[in-house]
Amino acid sequence: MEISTINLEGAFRWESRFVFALNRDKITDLYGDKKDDLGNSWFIGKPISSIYDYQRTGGVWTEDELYKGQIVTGFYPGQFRLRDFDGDGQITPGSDRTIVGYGTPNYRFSIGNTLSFKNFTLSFLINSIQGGNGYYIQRNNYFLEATTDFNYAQRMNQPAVRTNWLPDNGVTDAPGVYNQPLILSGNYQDRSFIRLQDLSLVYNFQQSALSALKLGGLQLYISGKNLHVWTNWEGYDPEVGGSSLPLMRSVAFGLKVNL
Amino acid sequence: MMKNNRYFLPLLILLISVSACNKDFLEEKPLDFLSPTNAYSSVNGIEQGIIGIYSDVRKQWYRNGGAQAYGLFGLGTDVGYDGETPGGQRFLNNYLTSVTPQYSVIQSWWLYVFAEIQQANTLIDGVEKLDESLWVNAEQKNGYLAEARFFRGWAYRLAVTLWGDVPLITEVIQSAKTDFVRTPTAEIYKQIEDDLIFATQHLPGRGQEKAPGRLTKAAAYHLLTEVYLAQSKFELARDASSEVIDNLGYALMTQRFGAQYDVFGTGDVYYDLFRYENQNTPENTETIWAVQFEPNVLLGVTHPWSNIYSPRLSRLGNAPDGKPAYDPLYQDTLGVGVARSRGTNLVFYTVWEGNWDNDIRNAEHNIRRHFYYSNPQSVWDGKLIDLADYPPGARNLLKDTTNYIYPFVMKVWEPVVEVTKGTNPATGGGGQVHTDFYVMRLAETYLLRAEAYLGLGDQDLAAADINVVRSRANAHPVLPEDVDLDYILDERVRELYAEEMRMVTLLRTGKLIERTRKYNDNPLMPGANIQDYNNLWPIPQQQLDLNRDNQWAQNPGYPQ
Repeated sequence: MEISTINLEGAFRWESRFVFALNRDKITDLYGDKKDDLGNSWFIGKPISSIYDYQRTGGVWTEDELYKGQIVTGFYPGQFRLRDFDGDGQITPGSDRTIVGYGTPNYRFSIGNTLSFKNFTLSFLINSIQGGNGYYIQRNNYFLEATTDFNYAQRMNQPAVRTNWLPDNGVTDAPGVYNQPLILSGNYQDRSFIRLQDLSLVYNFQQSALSALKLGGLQLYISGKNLHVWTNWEGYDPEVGGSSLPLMRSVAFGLKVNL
Repeated sequence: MMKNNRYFLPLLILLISVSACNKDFLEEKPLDFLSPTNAYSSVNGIEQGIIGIYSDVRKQWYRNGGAQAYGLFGLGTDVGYDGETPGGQRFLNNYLTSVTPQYSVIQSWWLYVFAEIQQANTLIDGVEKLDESLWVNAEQKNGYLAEARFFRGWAYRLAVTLWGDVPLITEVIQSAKTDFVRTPTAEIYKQIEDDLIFATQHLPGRGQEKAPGRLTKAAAYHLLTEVYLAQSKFELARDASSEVIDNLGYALMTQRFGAQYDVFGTGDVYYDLFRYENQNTPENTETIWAVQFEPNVLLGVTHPWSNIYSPRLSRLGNAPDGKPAYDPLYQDTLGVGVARSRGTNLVFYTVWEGNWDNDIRNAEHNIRRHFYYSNPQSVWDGKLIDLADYPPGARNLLKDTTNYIYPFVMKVWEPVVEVTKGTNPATGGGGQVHTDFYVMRLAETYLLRAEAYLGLGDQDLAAADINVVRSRANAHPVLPEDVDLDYILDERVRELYAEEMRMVTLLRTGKLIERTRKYNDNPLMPGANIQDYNNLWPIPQQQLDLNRDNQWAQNPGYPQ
């Protein structure tokens, strides 16, 4: 859906463009047998980007829970809580996995504005992809859990190193220092973001000044790309996700001459 | 205009029905790229395909091809643990938490094994379908079949050792298949035997191979020996290994040979065996099969063995006087170890008891135990590094002894080449090595035959074979009554440490759990927390999930 408006006309001109997109998909059948495909994480009646995993129920198990016997077999305080769906006291691949969310966006939007006053033109584009309702999540263990299988914090710059859990420090969003649970589960984060994607300020020289110089056009501009991102995602860039390199930020000054 | 429409619709229907009926129309004929349908349409194409398998085997099992291949060569067994983070949780440091159906390394190894099987099957199929007139003779055709079938056997032998019952696939899989059946181990061994017996008949003899590093008959007999031993077929194992030992032109090296590179001023034949360029010479009659590493050829690659096994001497820090222990420009000839698989006391001390000074494999130039400060700025320059010289409490002895300083096994290193052919001696090549990697060496064949004799109850002949290896090393002979399986496994540590796939040997002999508990002396995780069910590895969860039309049971002990 797209809306283009001219909000003001005259010496001060303001144009806007608003784009909104929403996409939904659903698998109706896979191989003609109405059966799910666990290996590829494809489920009848669910979006193709479904993520099948153990479900974290928030926080880490505490020592108190250990003493009371409330922790499932083989797990320890300082490890993330997992849901024991069948209540048998163990976490097993056969009965304790579920669809924890979807990789695809919930919706996208972008807002473009162009403001002109006399010889100046200011334009900017805000771009956003939004999750919510379980959409647009991605596994982010490497950045969030320094001790997934080895202390990667020693070997890479981690943007999101967190204080490890200790029995008495009240941390619930990071595991204990030595954490290798029997069952690995994803630490999913919402990748929703709003990005100031483009910003440019242009000054067009007066036609009268140009004819003296015998030029067809003369323009001075400053423009920036990817200037700021608002997000709660703690990896590199929310749009490229966990493993890829982030987008570059660039700023350019320029003079454009038309002969 | 309107009139024409009368013809248009039927024509359209006709066109659709023509294209829908004719399957050839949908078939893609590769003209400008390679695919299995056209790549193997010439002998040259087959040759390229075979070379591809060698390349994959090298990359995935003899380098560090993204999936921690060194995990098969000693880590988490009686001979090694993670010295870099002994209390950490990297692969095989703690069996309970890393040998699990979800662990990525296990998943990768499964995929590698079955990719090799598929590749071998594709080539076997290609060879069999190739126009007969293109072959020079039947032996040429059978030679290629033998190589492909060897690799299929090689891959299946790994699979069956690690996972037990796995799907037996001898045809090319053309499309997605989700109903694989786990074939009983015995049937898989039968197929491996068939493949390897064919290979013994059709691979070339020693020196007849097309290029260094290509397979010969002896490699097939050697692997066949291990396959027979795994099934307690001791007579067949004896016969297969005897073929290599007696009839195919191999002999243990007993004199110094090749490029000698005595960087420490002394050397011996065991030292020479592991020096750069000494593996594939006609002179070396001990090599059965060595994987090729070359520094100076196009696409030549290295392997990180020194990096994996060696102490991280460069991180030792300061000498007792506070000056750096090593001149930062030139740390040592020993390169950059990271102690990823630090040897246990079994490797460095226990197995040498009684032969400490005479066994050449324990000589200082083969296992370097003394290191010296090397920094002219320090008064300690040139002096022996001894942690006792530091003030009490000045050092973290756990870190020092597991990670920074412990005996350095010289067979995994090639200092001279880095200095002469590399460019920066200060970096020591980052622990990368170019020596060809022995996959099979005659000394091992002797030790395999000793196992066969032991299985047949003949300790005398078992001792005799072990003593062939021991006498070359100037070790005292073993008495027949002292030979048992553990003795042979100890001898393999002395002779084959860092060469053999220790994990595979111990799984094959059923000794993994017992010996890991006994000898894995990781100070922070003794016995690697190995579990009673770790005699088989878990099937990767992803594979269980993907095989949606035939649910397999997970191997016993692992979460179902």
